[in-house]
Amino acid sequence: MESAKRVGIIGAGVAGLATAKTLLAEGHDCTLFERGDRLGGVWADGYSNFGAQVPKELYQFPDWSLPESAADFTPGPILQTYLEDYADHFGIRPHIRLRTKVLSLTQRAEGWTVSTEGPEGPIEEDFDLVVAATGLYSETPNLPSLPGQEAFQGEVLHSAQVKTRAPLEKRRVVVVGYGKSATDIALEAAAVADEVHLVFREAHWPVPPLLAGILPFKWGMLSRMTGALFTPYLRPSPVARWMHGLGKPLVWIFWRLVELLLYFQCRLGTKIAQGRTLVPDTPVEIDCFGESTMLPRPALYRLIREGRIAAHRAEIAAFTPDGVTLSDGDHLAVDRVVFATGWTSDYGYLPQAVQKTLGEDDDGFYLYRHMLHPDLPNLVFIGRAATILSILTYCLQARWLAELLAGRHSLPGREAMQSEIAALKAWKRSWMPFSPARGARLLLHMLYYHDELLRDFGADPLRKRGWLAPFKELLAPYQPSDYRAIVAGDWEAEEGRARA
Amino acid sequence: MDDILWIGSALGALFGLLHGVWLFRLQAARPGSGQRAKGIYYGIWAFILWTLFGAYVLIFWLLGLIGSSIARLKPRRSSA
Repeated sequence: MESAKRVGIIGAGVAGLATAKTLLAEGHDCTLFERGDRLGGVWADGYSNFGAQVPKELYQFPDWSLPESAADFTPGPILQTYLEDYADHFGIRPHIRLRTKVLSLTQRAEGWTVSTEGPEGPIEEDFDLVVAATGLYSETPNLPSLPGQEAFQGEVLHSAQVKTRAPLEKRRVVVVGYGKSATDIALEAAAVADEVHLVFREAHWPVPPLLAGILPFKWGMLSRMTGALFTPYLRPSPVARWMHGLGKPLVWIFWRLVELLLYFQCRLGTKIAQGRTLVPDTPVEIDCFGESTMLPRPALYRLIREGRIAAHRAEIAAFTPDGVTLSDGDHLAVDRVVFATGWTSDYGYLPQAVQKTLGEDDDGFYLYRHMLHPDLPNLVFIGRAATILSILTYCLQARWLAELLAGRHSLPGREAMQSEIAALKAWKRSWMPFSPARGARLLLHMLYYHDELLRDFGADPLRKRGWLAPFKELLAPYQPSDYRAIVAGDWEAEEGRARA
Repeated sequence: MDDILWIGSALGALFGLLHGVWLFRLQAARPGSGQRAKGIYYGIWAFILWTLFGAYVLIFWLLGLIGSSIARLKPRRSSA
């Protein structure tokens, strides 16, 4: 790895840009391949009124802040401009090839040959290292196939097709799903449609922007103290082991109090269709690691209470010519069905043999440090780690890779990496709810993952500063600004060491 | 009530001492200047916080023990 100098990066979204910026600064020659006609990945194009689901201080590069004027829960178009500015500021843009699709990768003795199709026609190039920065999902919508759909006289859409409110205007709309895009589109529909139904199999515990109406959610979710109360991370510290052993009643009562708070704050006892409620079945400390982490806009529960959005805890059993029949027996007469059911996972540009090596499990493939497979040298995945602070996570992964390429830390042997992957897989499968991307899912365990990355390359994971630092380590939320020196690559001076 | 406060604080001090020593050892093992001092500082904080809040922790632990025992008698929800 230490000799890698020519780096091909697939994808010019957040992960690709963070990787390019970090590796360019270390003197590597980077080329980014972006199939779209502009950089930005998911932020280049989205559904109506899409945006970040966390406040702006949590969704920005540690060393390149969002403008002061940017709104909290930053809208997608603002984030797109921000990414364009980032690419210009750090000199990434000249390295990006837009409208260039990666067709395949072929393994060489020392690196990979990348075949692409772009404005200049098909090209094959050799790289010492390839970074797959295409994220967790493909551009293929995850659309269920349901009986009777061909006879349905209305229109079936995927959330990505709802670019404006126009397709929902004066319509009777069903939105399927309970994640971020589903609840966002239900709110969009509620503004213009005649009738809105939200259909979901499972309810999830919501995380309101302000806990109890006063405390920003990051104080309740992103501190080390709360982190210690989640299911312990792989190889837990003695403190976490104690908390989840002898201290188990403390953990239990903490989460039951959290559930009580969410129940009353969001009025989850509200009766919905068939006399059911919005109270989830799964305990909050497990549910928040599921497929849909709920950070809904505040209006959602109010509109459900007011009946403007009719919630159904069921699934679509079949289409009929004039609507849909639900699994609970209800029939909804509608003329628009929007599936906000996400995207399929697809690394179609990887050869079959590589995909087989990565693994073909239902819950996705597992990697060493969520980045590497021991049998696929010189291929690195950046951005295949789902966390709440994804920009920060990708920046730290990029820094970890840069340090590895510079020889400032090294990988363990093949056996050790394989055993680490096996342990990760067993640990996640022992408690984390199933999802097709479970292999990449970290969510609120991200703090421990970030600690792991920092320790690998010798940086101090305790990032809080000042004389109150120990107190802040316990109670204050961790956010991108805490890692500014790490991402910028100048943390060693801060720790009283010379850079190796 | 006094007894709970005393017992909680004493247990807190014990856990704080153990936590403090662990934090010190962890930090002192790191390369770079000032890590031992940082470890001692973090250790003292851990000791003080545990001692200060030990009684509250004990009360919550007891409430949790009662609550979780009752909940176990009447299982109502699935877990992963």
